[in-house]
Amino acid sequence: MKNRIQELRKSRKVTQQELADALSVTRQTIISLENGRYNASLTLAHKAAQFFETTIEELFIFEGEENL
Amino acid sequence: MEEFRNDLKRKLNLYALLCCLYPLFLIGSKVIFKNSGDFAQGLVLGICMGSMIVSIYFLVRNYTVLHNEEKLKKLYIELNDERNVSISKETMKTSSKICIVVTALACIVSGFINEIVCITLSADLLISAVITVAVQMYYKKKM
Repeated sequence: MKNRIQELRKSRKVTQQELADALSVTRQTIISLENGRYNASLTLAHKAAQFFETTIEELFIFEGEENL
Repeated sequence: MEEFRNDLKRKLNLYALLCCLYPLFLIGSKVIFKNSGDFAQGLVLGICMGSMIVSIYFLVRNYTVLHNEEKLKKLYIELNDERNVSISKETMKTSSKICIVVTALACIVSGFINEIVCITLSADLLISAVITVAVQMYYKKKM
């Protein structure tokens, strides 16, 4: 699943560490999310959407059925 | 975070208790199993020493973390990070599957070499299967 985390983070001049601290995850998780290697849970997606003041749908781009 | 702190305090007390109990257990086992062979006594000694070292490590870590807010937050994030949790789950899942396959292969091979080893490995596989079914039933009810 693609996401706009890196794009929004850079536009707001937030570092990966700052975002990680705000979402209570490690910096490595942010890196993996931005690279698309890891899909966030619903809770983390919700927290991220709240942080960027957007909706989950706008932050995460669902591209059809994955891992099926 | 407060819940995590209380959990760490509980674990700190548990590790402290274990650190006190291991030497007692060691002395007790020396008295009770004094007629056992060197191997059995060495095994008990090894397990006790290993467990004690692990307990001391966690005791010191928890004590240090509980007295430093920054380290506490860092540990909380490290232990509760969903990617780390996911990695742990996947690691356990994959490694247990590999272990079962390796044990099954070893069981077949040992059948040609030693009967006792083969039966022991078969029993191990059977117990693993029973535990897997029991755990699966638990999670089917829980989720």
